[in-house]
Formats: sequence, structure tokens, C-alpha cells
Amino acid sequence: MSEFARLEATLAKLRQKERAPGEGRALRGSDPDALLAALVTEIDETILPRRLSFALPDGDVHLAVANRRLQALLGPAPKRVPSELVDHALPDVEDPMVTMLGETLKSMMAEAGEVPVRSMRSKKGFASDIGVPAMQLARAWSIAEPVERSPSETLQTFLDGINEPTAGWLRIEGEEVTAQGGAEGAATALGEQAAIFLDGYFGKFDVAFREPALSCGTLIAAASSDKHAIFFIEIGELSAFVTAPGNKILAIATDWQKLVAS
Amino acid sequence: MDITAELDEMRKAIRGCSLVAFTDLTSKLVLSTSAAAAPMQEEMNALSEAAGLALDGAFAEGAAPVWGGEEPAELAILMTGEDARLFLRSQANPAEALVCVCGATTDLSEAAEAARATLDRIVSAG
Repeated sequence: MSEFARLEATLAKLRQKERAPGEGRALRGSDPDALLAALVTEIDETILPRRLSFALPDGDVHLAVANRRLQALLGPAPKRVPSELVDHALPDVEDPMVTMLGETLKSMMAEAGEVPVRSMRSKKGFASDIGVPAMQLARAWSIAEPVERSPSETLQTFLDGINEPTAGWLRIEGEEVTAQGGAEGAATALGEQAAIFLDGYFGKFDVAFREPALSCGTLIAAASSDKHAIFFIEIGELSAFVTAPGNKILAIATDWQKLVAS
Repeated sequence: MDITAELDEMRKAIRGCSLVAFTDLTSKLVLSTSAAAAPMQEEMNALSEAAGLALDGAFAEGAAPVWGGEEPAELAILMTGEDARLFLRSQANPAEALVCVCGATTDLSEAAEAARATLDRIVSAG
């Protein structure tokens, strides 16, 4: 059994619950080009199979996305979406439907301001070779600079920068712990601690973070500065659980703050 | 002691700080506030609720095993790319706390240090 079995089971259970409206991700952009670029960024940040739903003025558009690839536009779709696009698996960027889909989405974004995004586990499976990578989509849809720094890069830059020897961390993607750092042998304990913390965190997330946010950070520390404290961060679908002594954790949180402050 | 004056002084000393409040965690009542612009009651209620969650509620309970669980949470920060809300519990009177709403680039260590000093003065005078 994986040393993170309990944490991963907790995450799987919790992520199945759709967060209430306060989950809060949204595409933002001043024009349809910027919104389409933000949508491509959203695809680029999605690793596990997901049904991403975008609330556009014409109705919700659902996209099947996995492994940073757009696989298909899923039904039901608003009337404005050409029927041949709905549930059509996109094998690669050469498929003419890719261009049509980009044009359709852009036209539907013309009247949109902020576009709320919901992410659900995907029930419809596609073969692993189906899908157009986000960067190829960006080129096909003539998006100049769709990604400044992806959430994945931001998170990795942060974790790579933790050089406090007494700190430990877990990098979490969806329901899986994909990397760990810190003192040898501490990972199992970290997994247990993260499972306990996240049970309460996800249950009360909407009380703590009422406004939509691209990233959320939570630091909790006791008064004894030599005892460990926690710093949990979420960005896109990625997260990390970090522990370090109370007198070090503020510096670690400050490093994160510098990366995400807008 | 003029608590509002203490809060005003702290707010002005922290770059990017827009609101400081002295709150009772047990009753979830905000006892005194200093703000750059008058806050809506809804905002104050949300801050009180978040303070309770982070220092006494599910967040604090979930974090406590990391430090052994013998003592309550003293400091909590909820941050996004746009702001940071800092909650600090008094050591002398664990039911009282300071809430500080800071900008995204506010120096967190400086804010925590200022909050600790202000809270100590308020509680010891009270």
C-alpha cells in the first residue's frame, strides 16, 4: 500500500464533492481573445481527466480535458454550437474541427465578461492518444502568449525554493501525491497530517475563501515557534502541503506570496 | 487606553493594510475596528467567521496534530493573489484576537510582529 494511501483516499473522497459555487475559478479577460487564451491556460493546467464547464452567456460549454489536452466538446451544448462539434473526439491539431471549435468558442465569448469554470471528474473516457495539447491549440487559435507561467511551473518554482532543512512538503495533483521533499522518513507522517487537515479544509473552504481566487494559501501556526506549523496552497488543480517550524513558516509563505501576488 | 487609536496606528504602519479589527472569538463579535473605508457589516461578519474557523474551528483542529496538538493555533493567514487576511490570537486572553486585512504584497512577518505588539498592549491594558 502506498505510504500516502490514506491521504489519497481522503482526496478522492473530497474531490468527488463538487465544491459549492464559491469554488470560484473563472476565466478573466478584457476581450474574447484574452478569454480564449485563459481557456487554453485552463486546459494546460488540467492533468487528470476532467469535464470542464464554462458558463458562457449562451449556456454552459463542457469540454473533455486530460493530460493537458483538449479531447472533445461534450454535449449537451448551447444551440450556437454546430452539431458536428458535439462529442466529436479531436484526434490531433490537424482535425478541421479544431479551428471550427476555436472560432465557435471565441464568438460565444464576445458577450462574456467573467466566465465561471467548474471542474468535475470526467465520466466519458477517451483513448489516451486522443486530444490536442494546449500549446498546439494556442497556435491553431492564434493566441499570442497564452501562458505567462503555468500553475505547475509556479508551484514547482516555489517548492524548489524551499531550502529550510526542517521543512517537509508534498506536491499533490488531483488525488495523487506526485512529489515530496524534506527530511527522510517524514513523508508518511506528512501524508497522515495532510489527510487530517484536508478533511476540515475542504469542508469549510467556502467560509475561508468566499471570493473566486486563482490561488489560495492557508497558514496555521501555534505560539511555540519551534513547533511545526502548516502552509497549504492551491493553484489551479494543484496543491501542496508544507510543514516547517513556526519561526520559518512565515518566510516560506512570503516566498509563495511573491510568486502569486497580483 | 484608546483601542481604536492603537488599531489606527497599526493599520497605518503596515504597508497595504486596509483594516484592523479587535475581535472576541467566543462571541464572534468585533469589538473595535480601524479601516481605510467603512467596512460593510457583511464583511465584518465574514472576517469574524473566518477568524473562528482558522484559530478555533476546522482549520485549526486539522492543523493541530502537526505541532502535537497541546496548544491552540495562535496565528493564521488566509491568502490569495490579491490579499492576505491575518488572524492573531492573544496569548494572555485566548478568546481575543486581532484581524488584519493586508494587500497581496504586504510583508507578512512585519504584519504579524506589529499585530502581536498591538494585541499585547490592548490586552494588557484591558
